[in-house]
Amino acid sequence: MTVELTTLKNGLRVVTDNMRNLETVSLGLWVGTGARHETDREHGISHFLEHMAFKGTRRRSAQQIAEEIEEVGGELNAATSMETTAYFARVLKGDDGVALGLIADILQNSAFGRPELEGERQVILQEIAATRDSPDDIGYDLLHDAAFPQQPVGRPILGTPFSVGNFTASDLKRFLGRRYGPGNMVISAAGAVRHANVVRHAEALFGGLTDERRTTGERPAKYVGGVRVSEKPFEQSHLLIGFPSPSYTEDAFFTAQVFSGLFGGGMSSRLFQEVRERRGLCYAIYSTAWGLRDAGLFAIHAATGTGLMGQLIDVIGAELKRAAAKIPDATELARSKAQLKAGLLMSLESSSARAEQMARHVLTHSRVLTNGE
Amino acid sequence: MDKVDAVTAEDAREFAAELAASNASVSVVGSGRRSRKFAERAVELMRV
Repeated sequence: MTVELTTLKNGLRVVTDNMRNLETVSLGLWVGTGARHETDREHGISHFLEHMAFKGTRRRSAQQIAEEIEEVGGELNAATSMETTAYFARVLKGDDGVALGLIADILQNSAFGRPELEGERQVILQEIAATRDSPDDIGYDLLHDAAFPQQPVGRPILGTPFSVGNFTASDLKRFLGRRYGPGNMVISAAGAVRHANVVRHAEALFGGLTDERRTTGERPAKYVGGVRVSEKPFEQSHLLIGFPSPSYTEDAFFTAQVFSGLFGGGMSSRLFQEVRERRGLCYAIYSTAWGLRDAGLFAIHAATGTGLMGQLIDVIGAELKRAAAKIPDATELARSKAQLKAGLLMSLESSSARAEQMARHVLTHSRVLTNGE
Repeated sequence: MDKVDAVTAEDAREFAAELAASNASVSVVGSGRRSRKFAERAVELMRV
């Protein structure tokens, strides 16, 4: 693999990895802006903006955008997270200019027409409503609120019906102008790609962007902790337990990942073996270590019948105490490390995962870390 | 990879001890009026 990184005069960074033997390229534009960069009034606007990107520009209708990418057999999508928003595509070798041209247009010339805005508002309100029918989503939203109360990182990315119901085209344009500066963006491409070509396209399509209106403020995340419940009836009861955990910028983040693997990461993990296999208390149980730039959350999630919930809590508590009292044996530790490393290396054989990983590295570290790092 | 390899068994135990010493966050969904009791019990039982 050959990684090349270029910074354009306006601060936009372009990173590529030529992955030999591929006939396709995954590429996109990652912005270092997500749900945590919203004010209270803007709650959900990053996600709303991402949705509106495909609803038409001053040059292309929504249908023309869809037709243009599909005429070359490509696909175009977008995603919003707590710290980033990504607009990405997958196309055949040589069509990277087509994909970047579309992404440049939707980011710089979105029309935000009233009918499209109202239509997408309804779509997002339905997306929010769907989460209210999902006990997993309710549980995670409540857990994040308990861990980081009254903070952007503790809020759902989608926003609320109230906030989403009030966004205007001016709000979207203001947020775009404030947060989508070239110094806060990375174009990343992996697969059958030539770095010089991507840089040439980037200069032509994004070279005119300036950083003048961008603000870099980010409210630090502060873990608090507490209890949140929903009495809404479901067939099963969902239990989510969270603890403060290292940010992804700390070396201890890897300790959290390794521990999560051996504690609740797979079928050989302690929680799966003890809670499900030996005691039959649930169908699925797992742990995760979620990292942000300045905080993290270690979470355990399981669901069971209400009559078994007490036992489930007892066993999880006993397992955590056992893990805190005695070191894991060498084979258990090695197995977790092997799973973690294999998962990472397997994912990097996907050009889309590689493009995303490079973009995140450049946004966080201003360079692409090696696999060793 | 190097950072994963560098994690020791004692690091993992210490991490678990830090979790158990912290103030847990708990959410319970779907247990009706018993949800809060379960959540409070979980907070209590997670602490060493």
